[in-house]
Amino acid sequence: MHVLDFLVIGSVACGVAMLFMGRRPKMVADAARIVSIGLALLSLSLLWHAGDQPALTWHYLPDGEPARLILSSLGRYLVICAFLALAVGQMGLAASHHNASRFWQPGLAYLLCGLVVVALTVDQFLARYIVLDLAALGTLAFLALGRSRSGKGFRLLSRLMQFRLGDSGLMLMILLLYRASGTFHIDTMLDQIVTLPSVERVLVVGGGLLAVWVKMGLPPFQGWLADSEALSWPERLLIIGLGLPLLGGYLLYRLGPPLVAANGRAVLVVLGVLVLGWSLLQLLWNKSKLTWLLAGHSAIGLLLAGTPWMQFFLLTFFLRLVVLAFWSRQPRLAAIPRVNRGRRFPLPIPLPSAPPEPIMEPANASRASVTDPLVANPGGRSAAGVDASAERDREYSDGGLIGTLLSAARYVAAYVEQGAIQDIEGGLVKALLSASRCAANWVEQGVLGKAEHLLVDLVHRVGRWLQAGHTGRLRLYLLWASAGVVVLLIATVAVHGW
Amino acid sequence: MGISWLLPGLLGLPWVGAAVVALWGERPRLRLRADHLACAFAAVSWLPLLLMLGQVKGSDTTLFRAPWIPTVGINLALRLDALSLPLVVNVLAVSLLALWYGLGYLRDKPRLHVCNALLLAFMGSMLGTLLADDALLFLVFWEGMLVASSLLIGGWGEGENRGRITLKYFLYTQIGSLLLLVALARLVGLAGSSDLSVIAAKASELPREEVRWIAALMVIGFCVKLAVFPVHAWLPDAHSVAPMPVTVMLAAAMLSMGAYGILRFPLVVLHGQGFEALQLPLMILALVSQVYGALMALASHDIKRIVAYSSVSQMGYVVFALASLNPQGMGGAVFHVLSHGILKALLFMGVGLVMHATGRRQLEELGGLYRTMPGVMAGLSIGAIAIAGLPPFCGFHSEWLIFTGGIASRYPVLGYIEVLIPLLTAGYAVWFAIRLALGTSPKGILPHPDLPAMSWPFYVLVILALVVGIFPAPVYAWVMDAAALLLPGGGL
Amino acid sequence: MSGLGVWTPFVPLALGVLAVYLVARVFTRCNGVLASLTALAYALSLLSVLQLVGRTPAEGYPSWGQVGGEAILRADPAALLLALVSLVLGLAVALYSGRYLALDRRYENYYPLLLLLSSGVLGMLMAVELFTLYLFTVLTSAAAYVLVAFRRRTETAVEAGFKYAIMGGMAAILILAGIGYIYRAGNGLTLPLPRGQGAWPTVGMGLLLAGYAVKGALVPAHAWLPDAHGRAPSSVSAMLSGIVIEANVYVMVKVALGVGWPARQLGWLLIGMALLNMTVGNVMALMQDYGKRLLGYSSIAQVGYILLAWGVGLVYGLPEAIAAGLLLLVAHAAMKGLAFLSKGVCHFYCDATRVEELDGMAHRLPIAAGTFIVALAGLAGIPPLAGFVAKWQILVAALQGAGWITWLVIGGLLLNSLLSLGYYVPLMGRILKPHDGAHEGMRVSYWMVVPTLGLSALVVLLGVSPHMLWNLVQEAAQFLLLWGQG
Repeated sequence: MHVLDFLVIGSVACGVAMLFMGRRPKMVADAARIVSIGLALLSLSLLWHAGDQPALTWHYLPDGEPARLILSSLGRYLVICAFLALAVGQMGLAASHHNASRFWQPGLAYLLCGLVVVALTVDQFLARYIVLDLAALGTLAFLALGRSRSGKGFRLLSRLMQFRLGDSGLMLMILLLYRASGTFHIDTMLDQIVTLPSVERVLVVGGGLLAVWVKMGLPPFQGWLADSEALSWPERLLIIGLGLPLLGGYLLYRLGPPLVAANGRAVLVVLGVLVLGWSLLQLLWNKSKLTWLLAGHSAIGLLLAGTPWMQFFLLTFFLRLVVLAFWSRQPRLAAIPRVNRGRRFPLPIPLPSAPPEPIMEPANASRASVTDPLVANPGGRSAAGVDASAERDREYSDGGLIGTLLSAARYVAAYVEQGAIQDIEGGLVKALLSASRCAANWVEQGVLGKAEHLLVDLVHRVGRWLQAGHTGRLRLYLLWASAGVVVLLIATVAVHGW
Repeated sequence: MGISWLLPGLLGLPWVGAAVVALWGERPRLRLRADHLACAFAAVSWLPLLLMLGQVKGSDTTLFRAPWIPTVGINLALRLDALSLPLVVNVLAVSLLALWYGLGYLRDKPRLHVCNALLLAFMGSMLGTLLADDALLFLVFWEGMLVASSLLIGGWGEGENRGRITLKYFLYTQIGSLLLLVALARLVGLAGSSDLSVIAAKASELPREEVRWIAALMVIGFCVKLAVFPVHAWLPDAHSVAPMPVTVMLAAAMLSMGAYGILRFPLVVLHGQGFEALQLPLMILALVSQVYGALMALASHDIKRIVAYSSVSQMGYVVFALASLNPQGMGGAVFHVLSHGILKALLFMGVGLVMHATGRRQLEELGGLYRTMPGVMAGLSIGAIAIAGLPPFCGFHSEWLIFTGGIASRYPVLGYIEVLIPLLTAGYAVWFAIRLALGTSPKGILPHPDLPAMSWPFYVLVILALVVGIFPAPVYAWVMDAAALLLPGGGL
Repeated sequence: MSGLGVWTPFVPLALGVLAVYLVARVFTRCNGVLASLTALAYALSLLSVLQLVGRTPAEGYPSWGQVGGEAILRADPAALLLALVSLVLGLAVALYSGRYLALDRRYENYYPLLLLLSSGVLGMLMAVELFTLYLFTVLTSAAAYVLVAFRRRTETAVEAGFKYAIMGGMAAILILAGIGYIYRAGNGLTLPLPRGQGAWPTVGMGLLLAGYAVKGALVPAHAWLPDAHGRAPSSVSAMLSGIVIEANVYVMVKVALGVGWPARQLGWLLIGMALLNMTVGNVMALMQDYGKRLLGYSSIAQVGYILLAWGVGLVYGLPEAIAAGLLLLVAHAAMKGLAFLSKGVCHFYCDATRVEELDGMAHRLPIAAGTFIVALAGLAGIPPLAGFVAKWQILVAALQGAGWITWLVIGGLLLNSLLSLGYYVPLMGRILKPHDGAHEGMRVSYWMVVPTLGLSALVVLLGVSPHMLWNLVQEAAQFLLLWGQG
C-alpha cells in the first residue's frame, strides 16, 4: 500500500477513534501529539515516492468510475505541509488545553487533515466537491464549537451560507463540465472549458472563482477568517493553515491554466490587483491584521494564477504556517472588528396583529434578558459608528498631504468595511425577510386565505338568499301558479272554442 | 414477470393488522398493548417484500390478478415493479418508525387501539395505492388514505381548530381526487378497461387531444396531493394539527404518493404523451414552490409548521425533477422522495421530542436546548444540514441527480436557478436548528421521562441518513431501474 | 301474454291493508305483531315481483288489464327494478317501525297507510295508461300527506303535511289537466302514444311535467320537501326520500318519452333541471341545523345527480348513462333510507333532532352511529361504497359524450360533490366526536337494528360487487332508451 493511502486512512481512522474516546482527554491529547509527529515524519517520505501511484480507490457512484488519489509533484509538498500543520497544531493543543470539554479538538483536526489530503489528491471532481464540503463542515464545526459569544448563531449561519454559496458555484462548474465531457475526471473536465459556448464558459469560470474566493477568504468573504481570530492559535492554525485556504489555493492553481487559455488572464490580474490593494489598505487601518495579511497573500495567488510561479506561491503556504504559529498566542476577543457585530433582525416575522418588535435597542441592555441572543444589537453599531467617526475626525485632523490621503483611504476603507459590506449582507437578509413577510402576510393570508373565505362566504350567501326565498312564500307561489294555470286554461278555451 | 401470492400478502397484512388491533381493544392488564401489536404487524409486513426483492430487478415485475367485478371488467390487480419498489420500501420504513415513535408519543391518548388500527389502515391504503394495477382499485385506496388520515387528524389531533382543519384538508385533497376521478373515468372509457396494463398497451392508439387533457388533469390532481404552490394550503395546517406519528407518515410517505401518481400515470401508462406541454409550467411552478416554502418556513413561529413548510419546498424539488423528463431527473425525483422520507421523518420526530420535552411549540419560547437535549439537537442539526444537501448525508445524492436532470432538460436556465435554491434551504433549516440549539434557555424546561424510549426511532433515522449518504449504491440501483422504466419503450 | 302475473304484487299489499287494520282494531294493538304482518305483506309482494323479473322483450313484458284493447299495467324492467327497490325499502321500514312507532302509537292507521303508499308507488311504476297512472299517483300522494302529518299533535307536522297536501293537490290538478289535453288529441291514453300529434300532447305533457316536478320535488317546486321530511316520522321520510320522489321523477320521464317528446329535448331539459337541483340542494343543505331537513335537501341534490345521468343518456343516446342513473337511484334509496332510519334511532333513544345533538353519537349508540356513517360515507361518494360506484359509472358514461355540455355536466358534478362534502364530512365528524358526558351505550331494539344493518350490508355489497343488479339495470336502461325512440 502506498504511503499516501496509509496517511489518509491513518488520519481519518485516528480522528474517528479520538472522537469516540472523549472520556480520556489527557490520553487522547498525548496520543494525538505522538501520532501526529509520526504521520508528519511519514509524510516526509513522500518526497522520495515520485513514481508510483496510490492504490486507494473509492466507488462512491455505483455505475461510475471509481475515484483515485493521484500524487503530483506539487501535491507532495502540500500534503507534507498539511501534516506539518497537523503536528504543530496538535502540539499546541496539547500544550494549552487539557479540558474535557475540548476533547473533540484533536479528533476533528485529524479528520480535517485526512479530508484535506484527499481533496488535494483525488482525481474526480465530484469526489473532490464532496470532500471540500466536508472540510467546510469541519471548519464550521471548529468555529461553532469555539468559545461562545453573543450573536454566534447568526454569525455561524452567515458563514455557512457563504460556504454554501461558494460550493454552489463549484457545483455549477462541475455540472456544466460534466455535461460537456461526460466524465468526472478533473483534467478532462478542465480541458473542456475552452470548448464551451460563451455563456456557459462564464458560468463555469465564475462558479469556480466564486468557490476560490470563499475558500481563500478574499474580501468580501473574509469574515470567517476574522472569526477564527477568536480561537486559540492551534485551532486557528488548523483551520487556516491546514484547511480551506490551502484547498482554495490548489483549486486556483488547477483552474488557472484553463482560465488563461480562455483569455481570462486580464480578469485575474485586475481582480488580483484590486484585492491586493484593498488588503494593503485594510492592513493599515483594520485591527484584525492577520485576516488582511492572509487575504493579501491570497491576492498574490490570484495574480500568479495560470503562470508557472503559481507552484511557488502554493509552496509559500509553509510560510503561512510559520506566521500562524507565531502570531499572537492569545485569542483576542477584543480584536474582533466591529464589522462582525450584526444587526437585530426580527425573526421570525412578527404577525400583523402583534406589535412589531423594536428594531433598535440600546447597546447597554443586559444580554441575559434578551431571549433572542442570536441577534446582536444595532445600538452597538451606532455606538461603533460614533466611535469610528470620532476616530476618523481625530485622524483627519493630522496634517500633511500624505496624512490626509492616508486618512481619506482609511475613511473609505472603514466606510466600506463597516458600512457597505454590512449593508449588503444586511440588505440581503432584509430582502429575504421582507419576502418572507410578504409571503406570509400577503400571499398566504391575503390571497389564498381571502380566496378561501370568499368562496365559503359566497356559498353561504347563496344559501341564505335561497333560504329567504323559501320561507313564507307558499301562498304567493301558489297564487302565481294558480294564476298561470288559469291563464293557460282561458287561452286554451279561447283559442280552440272548447 | 412472476405471479406471486406474496403481493396480496404484502397488501393484506396491514389491513388484517388494523382489524386485529381494532378488535383487540383496550386491555389494561395485558403487557401486550394494542400499539405494540400494531408495531408488530408493521414489522411483519416487511417479510413479503423481502421475499419478493429478488424478483423485482430491472424491468421485471411481479403481478397478481383476481377478478372483482367481472361484468365491468374491474379486477383486483396488483403489481410490484421497479417504480413502486423504492416507494413501497419508503412507506414500510416510515410507517414502522412512526408506529415505533407512537409507542411513546401516543401512549396517553384515549382509544389507543382505534388510533393504531387507523394508522395501520393508513399504511395499508398507501401500500394499496402503490401496488394497485387497476384504475378503480387505485382510486379506492387513494380515497382510503384520505379517509384514514382525516379520521386520525380529526380524532387525535392537537388544538381546538382540528375539526375545521380536517374539513379543509378533506375538501382540498378531494378537489385533486375529483379531477383524478374525471381523468381516470375518461381514460377507462376510452381504453375500455380499467386495468393499467391494458391501458398502457393501448395508449398509443388513443386520440392525442384527449390524452393531453387527461394527462393535464391527472398532473393537476396529483400536484394537489404534492402540495405544490397554489394548492398547498392544506399542508401546513394539517401537518401542524395532526399527532406526530400521523404527521410523520403524512409528510414522509403520503406526499410522495403524488409523485408516484405522476410517474405512474402520465409517464408510464400514457408513455409521456401530453406531458411535454406541461413541462415548462411545472418546472416554473416547482421553483416558485421551493422558494415559497422556504420563505414561509422563515416566517413561521410554530416549530411544527416550519418543518411542514419545508415539505412544500422539498416537494418542489421533486416536481422539478419530474418535469425535467430525463432519466437522471426521474431518478433524482425518486431518490429525493426516499431521502426526503428519511429526513422529514427525522425532523418531525426531533421536533416532536422537543415538544414532548418542553411542552412548547413556539420558537420564541425555545432556545439553548443543546444543554438539556444534546443528542436531539445534534440529530436535528444533522437533519438540517442533510436537507440542505450537504454530503455525507443522503440529501446530497438526490440533489446531485436533480441538478444533473435540470441542466440536461430542455430549459437549462431553470437548472442553473435550481442550483441556487439549496442555499435558501440551508438558510431556513440551519437557522431553525441554530435557534433551537443555541442561545439562552428559557425557564422551566424539564426533559420528559419517556424521552429515551421515543428517541430510538429518531436516532435510527439519523444513522440511516448517514448510511444512505455514504453507501448510496443500492438506492442508486433501485432509482435508476425506476428511471429506466420511464424511457419510451421500457417497462410497462 | 297472460296478464295474471302483473297484479300479483298488489294482492299482498291490498290484503295487508285490510288485514292489518282489522287485526289492529279487533285483536291486538301490539306493535310487533302489526309490524310483522306488514313485513309479511311486503315480503310476499317482493317475491311476486322477483318472479316477474327476467322476461325478455321478445316474449313481451307481462301486462294486465284492458282499456280500449291496450294494457293498463305493464311490468317492464325499469318498473320492476324500482318496484324491487320500493318493496325492499318498505320491508325495512316496516320492521323498523316495529319499535320506532312506539313514539307515535296509532298503529292501526300507520301500517295500512304505509301499505297503501307502497301499492300506490307500485301502481305508478307499472301503469301505462294515463288515467290509471293518475289514480295511483293520487293514491300515493294521499297516503303520503297523511303519513307526513302523522304526528298530528305537533303543529309543525300538521303544517308540513298541509303544505305538502296543498302543493301536491295543485300538482294533481296540473296532471289531470295535462291528461285532459292529451286525451283531447284523440289517440287514447295508453302509452306509448303514436307520434306526431300536434300541439295538444305537447302542452299536456308540459302540464304533466310541471305536476310531476312538484311531486318529485324538483327545483323550484321543492319547497314542501324539507318541511315534510323534517316533520314526518323517520320511517316515513325514508320511504319518501328513498322511493316516492324518485318514482315520481321516473314516471315523469317515462311518460314524457311515451307521449312522444323527442329524447334529445327531454334530455336537455333534464340536464338543466338537474344542475339546478344539485346546486340548490347542496347549498341549502350546508345551511341546515336540523338533521332531517339536511337529509331532505341532500335527497334533492341526489335526485339531481340521477336526472343528470338520465339527461346525458337521453341527449347522446347512451344506455350506460341511463344505467348509471338507475344504479344511483337504487344506491340512493338504500343509503338515504339507511340515513333516515339511523337518524330515527338517534331521535328515538337520545331525542336528537338538531345536528349539534348528534355529537358523540358513536359512543352513545354505536350501531346506529355506525350505520349512519356508512350511509353518509356512501352518499358522499367514498369508495368502496355504493355511491362511489354509481358516481364512477355516471362519470364514465357522461365523458363519452362530446361538446361543451359534457364539460358543464362534469363541472357541475364535481362542484356539487365538493359542496356536498362540506356537510357530510362535518356530520360524520360530529358523530365520531369523543363524548364528554356519560357513556350511555344504550341497547337498541332488534326491530331497529336488523333493518339498519341489513341496509348497510346492502350499501356495502352494492359498492363492492355491483354486478348483482347489473343485468337488471342494463335491461331497464335499454328499455327506457328504446321506449324513447320507439
